[in-house]
Amino acid sequence: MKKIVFVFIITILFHQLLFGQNVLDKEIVLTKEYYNLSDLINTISQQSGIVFSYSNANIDNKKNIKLQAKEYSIEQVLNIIVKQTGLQYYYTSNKILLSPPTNNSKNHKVIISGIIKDSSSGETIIGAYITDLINKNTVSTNQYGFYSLSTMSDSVKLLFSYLGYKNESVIFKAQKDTVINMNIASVISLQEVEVDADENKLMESAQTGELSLSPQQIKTIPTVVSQPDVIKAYQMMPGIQSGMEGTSTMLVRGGNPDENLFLLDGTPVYNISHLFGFFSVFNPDAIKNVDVFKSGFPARYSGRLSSVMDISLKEGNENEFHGNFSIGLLASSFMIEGPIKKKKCSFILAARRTYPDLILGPIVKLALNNEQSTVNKFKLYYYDVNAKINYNINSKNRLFLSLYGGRDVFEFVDTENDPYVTTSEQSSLVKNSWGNITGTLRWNHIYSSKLFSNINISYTSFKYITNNQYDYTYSSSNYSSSTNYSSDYNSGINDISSRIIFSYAPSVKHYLQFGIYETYRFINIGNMNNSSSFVDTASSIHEEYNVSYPIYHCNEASVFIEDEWTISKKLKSNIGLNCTSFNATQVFYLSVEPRISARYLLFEKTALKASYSYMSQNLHLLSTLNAATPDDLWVTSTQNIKPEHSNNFAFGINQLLLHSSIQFSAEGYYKTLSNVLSYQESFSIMANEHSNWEENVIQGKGETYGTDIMLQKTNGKTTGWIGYTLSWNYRQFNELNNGEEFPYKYDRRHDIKICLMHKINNKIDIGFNWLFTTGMAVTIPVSFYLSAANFNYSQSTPTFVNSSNEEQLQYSKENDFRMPPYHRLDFSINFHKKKKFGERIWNITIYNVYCRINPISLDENFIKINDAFNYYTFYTSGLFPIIPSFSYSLKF
Amino acid sequence: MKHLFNLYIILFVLLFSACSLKKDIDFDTSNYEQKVIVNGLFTINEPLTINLSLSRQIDTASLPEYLDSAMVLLFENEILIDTLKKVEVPVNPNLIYAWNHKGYYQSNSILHENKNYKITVTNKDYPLITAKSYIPQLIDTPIVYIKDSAKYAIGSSFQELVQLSFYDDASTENYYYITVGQTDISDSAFYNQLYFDCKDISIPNSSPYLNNETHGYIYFNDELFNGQTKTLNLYVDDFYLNMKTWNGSEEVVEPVYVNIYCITKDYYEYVKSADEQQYIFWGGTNGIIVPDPIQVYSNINNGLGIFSGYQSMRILINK
Repeated sequence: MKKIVFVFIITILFHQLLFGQNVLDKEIVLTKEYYNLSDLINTISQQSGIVFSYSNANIDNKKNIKLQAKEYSIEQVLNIIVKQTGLQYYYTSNKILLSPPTNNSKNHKVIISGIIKDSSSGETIIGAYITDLINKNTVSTNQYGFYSLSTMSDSVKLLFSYLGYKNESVIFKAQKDTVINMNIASVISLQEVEVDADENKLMESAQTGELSLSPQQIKTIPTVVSQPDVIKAYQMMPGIQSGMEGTSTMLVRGGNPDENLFLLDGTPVYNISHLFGFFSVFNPDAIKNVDVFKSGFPARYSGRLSSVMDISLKEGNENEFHGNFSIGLLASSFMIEGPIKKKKCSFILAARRTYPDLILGPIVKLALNNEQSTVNKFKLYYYDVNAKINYNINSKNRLFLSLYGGRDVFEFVDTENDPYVTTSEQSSLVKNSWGNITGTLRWNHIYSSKLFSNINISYTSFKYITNNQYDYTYSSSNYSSSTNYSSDYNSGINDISSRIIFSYAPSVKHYLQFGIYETYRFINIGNMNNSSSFVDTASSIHEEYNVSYPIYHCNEASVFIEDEWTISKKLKSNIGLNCTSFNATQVFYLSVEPRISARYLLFEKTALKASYSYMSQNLHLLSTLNAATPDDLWVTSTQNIKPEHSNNFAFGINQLLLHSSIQFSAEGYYKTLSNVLSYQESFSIMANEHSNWEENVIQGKGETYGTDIMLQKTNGKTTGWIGYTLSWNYRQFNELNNGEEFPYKYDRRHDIKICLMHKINNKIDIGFNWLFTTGMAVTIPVSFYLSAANFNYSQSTPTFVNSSNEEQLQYSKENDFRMPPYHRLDFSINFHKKKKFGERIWNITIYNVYCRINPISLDENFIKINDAFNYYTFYTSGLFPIIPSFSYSLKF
Repeated sequence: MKHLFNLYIILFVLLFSACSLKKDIDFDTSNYEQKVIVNGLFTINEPLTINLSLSRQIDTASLPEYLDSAMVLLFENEILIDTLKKVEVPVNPNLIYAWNHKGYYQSNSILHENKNYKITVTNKDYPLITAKSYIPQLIDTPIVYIKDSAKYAIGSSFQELVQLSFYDDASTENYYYITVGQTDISDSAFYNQLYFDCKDISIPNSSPYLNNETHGYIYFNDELFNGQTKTLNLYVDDFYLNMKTWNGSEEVVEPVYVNIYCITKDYYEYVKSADEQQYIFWGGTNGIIVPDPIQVYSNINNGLGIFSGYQSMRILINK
C-alpha cells in the first residue's frame, strides 16, 4: 500500500511541477457589474487570447450579464453566461463555440451508426472520433471502423475527426436511427512526418497505459541498418525496454518477454523475432494500426500478465493500385495493394527477404578459414509474407482473410582436415530453421445500428527445427572407416481458435462489448532423433535413439463483457469482467478477472485516469538466456506448475498544452505478480532435459512499480517525445537467494528516451533518438572455493578425493551488482523526391553516433599466478559500435 | 550498387576492427563474507574423511585458507557416534589431494551401506553447518569387453570400442559415474586417468554436439533405461590399451580399467552443475550475452561443498 501511495505521490508531483494551470482556469479581471454579451466576450478574448465563435443571430446583445465579483476564472464566467442566457459553449483547440440552446421538448433517442473509411484507400479507420456537438458525447470507431452513437436530439451535429485527417461535420434532422458511413480525407502528404496521437484519445478515453504509433512514424524512427521495426519503435516509448542491445524483445514495465500478448489481426503470434531477435516479424509496410496496452487491460484481452500489442493489418486499397519497394543493406521488401473489384474486393501483399549472410559470410570465412578448416556454407536469412483479402459482401457484411508466414534459416557447414593425416576428413553441419504461420478468417456483420459482430476462426503455429550432422572418413591403402552422427530435434506450439465478439450501444451512456473465445492448443516440447553409425572394412555398428517428449494438449476458453460507461460529462469508465478457463489433462484452472478503468475530466484539458486489472497466464516460455532465442520453449500450466497471475494498478494524469500541440502524461503503476517462473539455480542448459522441465523450474512472487512520464509534440515541423521511467522491479523465490527478495534482471531504475523528428522542407526530414538506461542488474562471482575432486590417484581402488586444487565459484546474491549504464544516440535523414510514378526516398541512418560501447556481456580476465593463487578482473563487451547504413525506397 | 555494397562491407569490417568493444569494469565484492566449504565424499568400510576450507575473494591474489579449529560430529541414523579428529594424513591417503594435508578431519568409525549419516560443523566464527547423505548400493556384475572388430580412426590414432553392460535396479533411482584409468606397473604411485569417447543420449555430457570432445568421466542417471540392461560404448585410444612396459625382465601390457561409481543424486547434481558452471563461465556463452550464472549445487546447510556417499568398483578391460 505504501508503494501505491508513493507511486501516486510521484505521479502527482511530476504533474504539479510541470503544470499548475488549465487554460480555462486562467483568471480574468472584469471591472463592471453589468456587461452586454458581445462586450463580455471581447473582454475575455483580449485577456486570455481565446477565440470565440458564434453567430450574431444567436446573441441577444440587449441582455446584460450580471457579475458579482471582479475576478473570475474563464470557466466561471462561461458558466454564468450559460446560466443567464441559456447558450451552450464548446471549447476546442483554444476556441470557444457558442451555440443556442436546444429545444429539449423535441428530444427523442436516435442511434447514428456507420463505418469510417479513408476516402482515398477505402481502408477502415480504427480509433476515429465521432463527437455529438449538441450533447457533447464522443465515441470512437472500433477495430473494424464501426461506430454507434446514441443521441437525444432530432437535430444532430456530428464531427468526425482523426489526427492527420480533415475534420468532417454533418448536420441533419434525425427522426429515426440513421446510418452515416463517412469517408474522411488525409491532409498529410506522403513524405511528411506524422505523429499519431490525438487530443481526443488522451482526453476522451478511459483507457490507461495506451501507446499508439502510426506506421508512418514507425518507419521514420532511426533503427540499426535502416530497417524499420515495430517493436524497436515502441522500445523508444516509456515503460517499454529491450532485453539486449539491438534486439526486438519487448519488456513492459519489468515483465518477462512471454508476458506480452502479440495479436496480428486478432491471432496470437508466439515468436516475434527474426534473426535471433534482431528484427521483429511485423512488417511495417503491411500494418494499419498498432495499439499497445501497458495497464488497464480491457476485458476483451486475456492470457498475459504485462501487455497487449494489438496489430491490425491493412485491408488493401479499394480504389486504386499502390505499392512500394525498398532495398537496403540487409533486407529488401515490397508491398502492393489494390482493388480486385473496385469498392467490393481488395487485397494487399507484402513480403521481405533479408541477406545478412552476404555481409557476415565473408567476415566469418575470413575469421575461420585456415589450413585445417574451411567454412563451406554460411546461410543466415529470413523471409516473411503478409497477405490479406477483404470482400464487401454488402453494406452489412464483410469478409477478411489474413495470412502470415515467415521463416528464419541458419546453416553452417565446415570441413576440417588433419594436416598430418591427409587421408582423413571431417565435416559438420548445423542447420536451424524456425518460423510462424498464422491465418485468420473474419466475418463482420452489422445487425442494426446498435449491434455489430465480429466472428473469426484462426490458426497460429510456431515451429523450431534443428539438424546437426558430423561425418568423419578415414582411408588408407589397407583400411577405411566412416563415422556419422546425426541429431534432429523439433518443437512447436499450435493454436486453433474461434471467437465471437459483439459490440452493442444500448443507450447514450453505454457501449457494450461482449464475446466468447475458444482455443485448442497443442505443444510439442520436443522430438529428438539421434543416430550414429560406424562402418569400416571389418564391421558395421548402427545406433539410433528416438525420444519423443509428451505433447501437451489443452483448451482455453474465455467469456468477457465490458461496458464503456459515460457516467457524466466528466466521468467515464470502462468496467469489464473476463472469465477464462484452462483445461488440460487432469488440470482445470478458472480465472475470474475484473477490469476497471476510469477517466475524470478535471478540467477541459486535464484528465485523471485510474485502472485496475487482474490477469492470468497459462502459457510460459522457458528461456535460459537474456535474449530471445528460437529454442526457447513454450509450456503450459500443469498440475505442478500453477498459472501466473498479476494485479495491475495504474493512476495517471493527462494534460494538453500550448493549443493542444503538446501532450503530457504521467502514469504511476504498481503490479504484483504471483507464480512467476524461474529456473532452479543449478539448472543445466547443456543437458537439454525437456522431459523433466517441471523439476527444473520454480515459482515465486514479483513486484514492480514506478512512473512513466511522457511529453509529446504531435504537430508542426518538429514532432516527437521525451519519455522518462522511474521504476523498481523485484522477484522472490523460496529456492533462490536464500528466499530473499532480489532486484529482477530487468530492473532499471532510470530510463530516458528522447525521439525527435524534424521536417526541414518537403524534400528532407531528419530524426534523432537518444536513450539512457540504468545498467543491467547482474549476478557475479564473488569468491573462489575448493572443490571436491572427481578424480583419484589410487592404484588399487577407485576413490574420490575430498579436496583438490581446483576451485569453484561462489556467486553474489541475485543481481546484486550493476553493469555500466546504457546510452546511445541515433540519427537518420530521409531525402524525398517526387517522380512521375510516385516518390523515391533515400534513407541514411547512423546508429550509435558517438560510438558508445554498451555492455551486453560480462567476461573475466583470469590472472593465473600458480595452481592455487589466481584471481579475476572483469570486463564488458559491446555489440554494436557506430553503424552507418542506407536504404532506397520507391513508392507508387 | 555493387561497388557501393562492397564499399559498405569494407567500412563495416573496418569499423568493427577499429572499435575496441571491450571495456574493463570494477565491482566491489569486499562486502561478501567468507563461507565454510565442506568436502566429504565417503564410501563403504572406510572412516569418514572431510576437508574444511574457506572461500576467498575473487579479485584478490591469495592462497586458500583451511578451517583448523572446528568441532565435527558424526551421526548415524540421527544418533551421535563419533567426533572427527583433525589429521594430517588420513588412514587412506588416497582420499586426499596429494599436495595438500590441511583442513582434514577423520572419524574412527567405519561407515556402512543402508545407513543415513549426518555431520555438524561448529566454529565460533561461523554459523552451525549441517549435512546429510548415505552410501548407495553398488551394481551387480557388470560386463566389460573390447569389441575387437570395431575400431575407428581419429587423426593418427585408432579408437577401440569397449562395451560396458550392467543391469539397472528398477526399485531405486540410480546415478552412475564412469571413468577409465591405467595403472603404471613400474611406478606404483602413478595412476593415469584416461580420456575416452562416449556418445549416448542417456548421458548429458556426451551429446552429439560435442563430437570432437573426449571425456575423463561421464555421469548419468537411469531415467531412460530404468530396470533394463544398459550397454555403453566407450571408445578408448588403442595406444593405451596396448601400452607395454617391463615388469622385471618380462614385457607386459599395462592394465586399463573401467571404474564404475554408484553415486547419490546430490553428488550427481554437484558434478553436473560444476560442469555447467565451467561451461558457462569459460566461454559457453561468452561474448554473446550475460548468462544466468550457475551456482554449483551444494547439500551443505550454511556452507558450500558436498557431503555424499558412493560405492565403486574397478574392472580390467585389457589383458
